[in-house]
Amino acid sequence: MTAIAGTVRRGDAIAAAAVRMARATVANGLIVILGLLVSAALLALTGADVAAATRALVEGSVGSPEAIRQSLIQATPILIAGLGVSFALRAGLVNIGADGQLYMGALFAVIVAVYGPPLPWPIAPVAMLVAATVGGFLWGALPGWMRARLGMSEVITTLLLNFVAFWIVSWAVHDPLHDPMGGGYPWTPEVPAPARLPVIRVAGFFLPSGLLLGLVLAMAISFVLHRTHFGFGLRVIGDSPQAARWAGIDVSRLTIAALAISGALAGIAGAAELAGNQYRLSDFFSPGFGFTALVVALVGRATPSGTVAAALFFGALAAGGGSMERIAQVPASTGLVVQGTVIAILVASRSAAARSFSYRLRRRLVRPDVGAA
Amino acid sequence: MTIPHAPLPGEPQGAPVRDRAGGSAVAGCDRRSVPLLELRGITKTFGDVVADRDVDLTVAAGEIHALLGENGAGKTTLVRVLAGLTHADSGEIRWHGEPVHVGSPADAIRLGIGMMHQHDMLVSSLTVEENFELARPEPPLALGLADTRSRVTALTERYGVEVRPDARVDTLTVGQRQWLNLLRILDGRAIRLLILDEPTASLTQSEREDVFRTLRDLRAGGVAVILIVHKLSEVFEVCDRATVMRAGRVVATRPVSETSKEELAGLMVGHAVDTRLAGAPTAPHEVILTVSDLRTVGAERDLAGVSLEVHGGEIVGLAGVDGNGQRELGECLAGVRRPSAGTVTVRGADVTGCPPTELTSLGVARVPEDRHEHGLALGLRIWENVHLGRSGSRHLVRRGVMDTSRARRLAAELATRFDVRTQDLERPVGELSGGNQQKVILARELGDDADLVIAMNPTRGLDIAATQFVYEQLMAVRSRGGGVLLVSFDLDELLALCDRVLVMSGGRIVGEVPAAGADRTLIGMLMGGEHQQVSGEAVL
Repeated sequence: MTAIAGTVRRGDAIAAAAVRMARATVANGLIVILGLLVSAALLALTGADVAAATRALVEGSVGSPEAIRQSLIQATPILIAGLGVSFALRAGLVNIGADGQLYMGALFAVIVAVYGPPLPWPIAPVAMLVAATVGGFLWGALPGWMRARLGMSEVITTLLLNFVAFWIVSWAVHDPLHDPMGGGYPWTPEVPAPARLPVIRVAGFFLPSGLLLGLVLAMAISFVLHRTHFGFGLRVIGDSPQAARWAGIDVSRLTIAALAISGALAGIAGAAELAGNQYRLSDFFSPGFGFTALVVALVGRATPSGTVAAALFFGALAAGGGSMERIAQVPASTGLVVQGTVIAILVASRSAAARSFSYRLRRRLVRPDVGAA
Repeated sequence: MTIPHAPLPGEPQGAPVRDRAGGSAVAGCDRRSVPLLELRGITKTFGDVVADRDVDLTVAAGEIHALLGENGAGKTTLVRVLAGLTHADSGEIRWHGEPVHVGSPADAIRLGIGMMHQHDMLVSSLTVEENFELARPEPPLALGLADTRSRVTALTERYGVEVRPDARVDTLTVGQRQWLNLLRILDGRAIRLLILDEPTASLTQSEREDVFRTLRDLRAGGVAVILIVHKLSEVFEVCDRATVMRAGRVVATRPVSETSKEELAGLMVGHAVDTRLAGAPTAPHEVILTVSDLRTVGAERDLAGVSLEVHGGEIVGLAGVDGNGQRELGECLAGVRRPSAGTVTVRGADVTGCPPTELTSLGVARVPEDRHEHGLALGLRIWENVHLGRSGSRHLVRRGVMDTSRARRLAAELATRFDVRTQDLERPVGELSGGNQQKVILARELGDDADLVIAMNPTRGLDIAATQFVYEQLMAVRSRGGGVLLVSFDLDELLALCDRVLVMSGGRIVGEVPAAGADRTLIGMLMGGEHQQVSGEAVL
């Protein structure tokens, strides 16, 4: 069965890649379905009407054009921030600080939009996005630098910088950026109309332009990871920092770059949420977008396409969760239960035991020739 | 001085058994008494690699038995079988003449077999007494630290080790830690056979003498000791008998009083017929690599002034026992370790401390010792690994964008040329067999017709066919006028392939021997740290 590599045709390679991708999608889909089932069982234990809750969930997420619009709006920040977390994961870096980077991005964006000179559309939203990119970039580059130059774990630093970012924003919205006409809430004035990201109507459906931006970014990241020298280096580092060192890859520089870009994407997510949904920055701006982004990145196996799929799912879950609360009197936080269950199952499925089982299974069933040479 | 030791009824308690017959260990035993330990026909394989082949060994109570051999001769595997850490495929272990099953370390401990490993088994963040508590054969539910403390104190006083029981292990010196490893084995157990795997490798002279004094005390108490050593002088310092292994087999067992360093060195490296693969010496080419007085600071084994030259059209071997600076030298030459002093020049250009990418552009290929850790990114695709670190020099990148279709095509060509056997270059390289993984590395490093190859143990763990392939590739470099520096623990390999062999010991090069018609005993002596004695003969 052993063929020489040179004889492999390109078509075969693409077909094989498609099969691998389909297999990964099915595997993650199963994990998500299992998570939903476990969550349903937990709901039933609390005495809730599971059937009514499920109906409300489906109707509230995909039941009407308005429901779909809500789902997509919810999906936008977690998609873009999720892309950021995925990007760092590919370089072997765990960015738990997406929430803080998102807050910093939104802070920079709101300063430009509300306190900068008035700009016309489309310059205004672009200026906001650029400002958010800078804010997130810096807030990501900092832990990157600490990791590369000082050897501090990015898991700890990114996590703790969340609190720093949050309290900076909290102070800003209470004092210097506070809207005196805001009804007493700790928030900034609204982003002016020319700076907002519009919802585009396509064939009776509403598509938030922030989501389209996320899809474009997903494609761009895919290109960077797989077609550029920089992305190749990142993936080598993510796979084996030692091999990268032997190959002459500048591990420190790429580490800083990976976390900075990861932060920049989370910052863009903040601007997209600000200019596309909430319009005001407050200290209750993020209901944990950055952490949902982590879930999204993990379920999406850190690939851009997987992240898109996972973000759409969790966006729908967030939108449906709200209607579940209204209609079926089930707490919206059930959505968090689903998230947690999915993560637990995901981690279990990637444990050494599960991996060795599936490896043996695969060797036996799918590719008897691998490793035989 | 007495040693914790509980004699069994009828146990032989005589003087060390001195056997005269060299060839067969079993036949040479004192027939009046049953030896403490007898191994019969132990065979152990790992995949295609035979670590031990039909090994017989006899050890008597009250003797210190040296186990000698090159790296990879099968010594460590053999004692791991004895300690219950691995299982032999076939063969028998006899204990006081009775066949026993040593299925786990617990079985070994019950028999009274204790093993001190080559590597530190202490938990650094715990204190000395906590580490002793961990080592108890049957841990109680509650920690009995008060009791442990008194035992530790008693042990350290008895052996004259100055260590406080409540000191954290990471504050101790290497020597102190080594002592604790030993004391932990002796703690509270009736030890009858003590196995030490290179216990003195990282010790100072006085620490070494302390350890040897303890071993003699144990011997006087009737304990048998198996000592894996590399320094020939240590065999004559403490051992009663020496068994030499080579390529998984026992070559000979000799009473130390009836042998010599020269004989043991000769047995260790063998007297294989001249199996040179390399052709006739090529005409002297220009110098490609010059290393002069290279030194490092802070490595596991620092280089203490290494100088060498590699010419075009020759393969220069670097022999030596593992851990004598070969790895550090290779790392300096691969650009991943910065030397503290000295220079490296490639074709006259000073490349001391240059990053790997610069070396690549000068035509320096590196085959790292650790394929999995250093040579490959196992989760990345095969074709990507073929270009790892070389996508720039192969002009596959234009303005930061990689021409992936050209990269795939070139990788497919190289994979064919270097016989990488797989259907699909899109698979992660980690799924390939070891031999194919090494071919991927060769395709990457040698695919651009490298001028100079730094190959570190390139055939370790490979089967015969893959090994042969590596040899052919290295010889191809030589015949096209390139230079090769081949670091290897396998002397046969070095003598078969190289034009001359340098021997490394203690971070420096202690001798040079032409490979054709090489004096193996001389190389063995040099490797065994006997260079003062032979330096007059060696061509330095």
